[in-house]
Amino acid sequence: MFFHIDIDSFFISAERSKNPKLLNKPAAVGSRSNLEIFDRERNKIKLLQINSGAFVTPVFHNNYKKTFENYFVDRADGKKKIRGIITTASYEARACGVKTGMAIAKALQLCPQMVVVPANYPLYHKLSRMLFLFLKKQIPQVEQYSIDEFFGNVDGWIEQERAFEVAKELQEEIFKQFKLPVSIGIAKAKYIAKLATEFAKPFGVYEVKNHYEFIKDIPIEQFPGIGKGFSKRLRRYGIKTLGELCQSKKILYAWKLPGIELYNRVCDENNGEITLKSAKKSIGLGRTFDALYDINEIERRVVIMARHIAFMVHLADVNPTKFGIKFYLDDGKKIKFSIRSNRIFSESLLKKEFKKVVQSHSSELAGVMKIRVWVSNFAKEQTPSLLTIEEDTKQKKIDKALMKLRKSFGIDIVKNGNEI
Amino acid sequence: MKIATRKDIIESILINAQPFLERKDPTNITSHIFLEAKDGLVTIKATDNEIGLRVKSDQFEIMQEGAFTANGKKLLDIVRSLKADTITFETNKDSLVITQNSAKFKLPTFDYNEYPSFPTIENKSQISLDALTLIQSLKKIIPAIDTNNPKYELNGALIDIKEDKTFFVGTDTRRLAVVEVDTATNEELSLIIPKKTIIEIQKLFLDSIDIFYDETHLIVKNDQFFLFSRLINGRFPDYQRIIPQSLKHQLTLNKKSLLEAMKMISIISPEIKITFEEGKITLQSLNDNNQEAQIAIEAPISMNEPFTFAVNSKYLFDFLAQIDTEDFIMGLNEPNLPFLVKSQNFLTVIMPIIL
Repeated sequence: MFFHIDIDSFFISAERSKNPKLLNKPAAVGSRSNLEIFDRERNKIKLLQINSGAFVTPVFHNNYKKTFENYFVDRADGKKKIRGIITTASYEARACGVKTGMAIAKALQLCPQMVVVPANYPLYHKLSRMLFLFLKKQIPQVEQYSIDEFFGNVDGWIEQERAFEVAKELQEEIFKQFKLPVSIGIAKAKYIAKLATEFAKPFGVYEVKNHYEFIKDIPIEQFPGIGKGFSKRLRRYGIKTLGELCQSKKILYAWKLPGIELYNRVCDENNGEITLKSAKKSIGLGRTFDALYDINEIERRVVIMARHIAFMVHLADVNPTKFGIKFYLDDGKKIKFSIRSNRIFSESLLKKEFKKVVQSHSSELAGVMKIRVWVSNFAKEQTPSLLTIEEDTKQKKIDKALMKLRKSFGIDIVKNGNEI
Repeated sequence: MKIATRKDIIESILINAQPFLERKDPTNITSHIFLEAKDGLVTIKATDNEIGLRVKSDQFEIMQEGAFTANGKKLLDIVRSLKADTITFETNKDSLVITQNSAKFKLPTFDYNEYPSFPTIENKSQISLDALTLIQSLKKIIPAIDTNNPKYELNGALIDIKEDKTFFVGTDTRRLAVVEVDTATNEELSLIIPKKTIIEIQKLFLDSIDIFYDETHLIVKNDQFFLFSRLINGRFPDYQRIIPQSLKHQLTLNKKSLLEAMKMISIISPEIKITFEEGKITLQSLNDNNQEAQIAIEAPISMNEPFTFAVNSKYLFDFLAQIDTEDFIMGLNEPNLPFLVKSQNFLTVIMPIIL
């Protein structure tokens, strides 16, 4: 029996837990793009480390105090312009039609009485971590699935008949201690519990009693893990609901691992287990911005992102042997590169490899609006190359010294010439 | 053309020829061997254009002079299947007919005039190296030479001839093997010879050989065989820089006892952890699979504090297999930096596993 615990409109709920004035009215958390890492001035950027679960994205932040005026409002030619997008809206704001991803200016037209507060990621990470530690005391097996979602396995801990009651008590206790509203889905299969939470929201508990009755008419797109590509493929076979999916075992099994896994997640009543400690398999970072055509600026941003990745790699004390970089262009095209390396990892190595990619594909990289970089394939007990060991050992020493500085004074304390 | 010979004679020539043939594309003439009977001698050629072999033999009875090409692999299969007796080869229009008693095979031939020509020793310089030294030195470094490295120069051995010394070098980037021999020459020279060529040279030649070269090709010949190979065009890593110039610890170790201990540990894992301390060496398996092996051997070692490092035992096994002294020298600096093993004129620099 699995519990899926999901915090209702987490970011705004987190703000409300600190500021009761935001309760019972349209309110939202907004953010502007997290592009301060590309600033040319020094920002004292630090990496938030309280919550570094496998599925939680890294947050680089600095400590300046944000207000609506200084964060969302740009002044140009004597005019005020509201920038930024809605990250999370309260249910009251959603009732006026405000949605995640909407421009704040537009959302305020729909809902003029709405209060928009600047996102405070360090607070959200802290609360998420505290809730995780609390849940670990309440349920024997807990997995943090994302910043605002947790799975708990309650088999052998509570009787099936009492599951609903226990979930209700847990929900009340969380609200009492953290002032955070959560919804809880209960099912024998892990991902069905997650699906059930959708029926519990807001601030409810939903228990799936009859697995097949519950799933049979749910459209496939609602199931976590069925993305655009997969649902298109399923629809080509006339599979529109999860019930129909369970009648198509042969088709899904023919699609090998992803198909088999999906079939079992949806149709196997007892599927799933808690991932207790999922070691990080990769370290990545992505940024979206207005389309760039200047290859030097693209290279500068790639190099800056490499510096941040290197910082995280050294914190995790791993040695990645595969580097990836993906460019998203404004015409919808995506260009992906991956580089294998048998060297000892260093900031300068990563920068060098990424620079090579940018320079040798400069003609294709026009209109870049998003860059994602990541490193993976962490090598344990590696025998590096004799031919580069001298250089690599030297770089490692430099990185060690740099790490000390970056930890104390921010990741942007030392930059390469071409990052400025 | 019509010739005849004993099975064992043609079989051994065809076996020698196999590695020189193109294997993947049977429509290519380089998948064929070339055979010519003329003036009492039979000449057989095999080449994939990268590397080639020419064999001369007077062990054939030539009834009618001429030439043909035929698929080298098929021809060997046919010869192998026949009895240890005389086999007759005769051309008939576009075919080769192979007969022995009542058995008869027919294979298609290509136009033998189209067979690739071999380079000649004309205008090529001769290397003044003692053949035995060359063959023995190359043998020692073969295991260290890489295969399929995208940097082509690493798939070959470097022969670096200096004024008073010649160095034979091979590396797969994790270890570097070097043989140093005293020679006297008035011409400094470096060649990179493909690993495959070295292996074939080892198979075919014992001693008394002549070696010729130019920018692109190497030729090795004696009375019976003529082997040519393309050289690898590239810049070999600066091997002198990789050899540690100073050593913190220099230990003399017994080959037999270390070999025995390593064999035991490598049952559990090829990666081993070695600790040197006062009077003893401890070897441990490096394996997180719930399996463990450990052994300590006594050794006359003086160390102020224990020195531990890890290494892929294959590199040490390869080195020890090539030396014939009782003891060898191990030179260490830091656990995570390259170390050196040495016996007489043969040394290997090995990169440890970083723990």
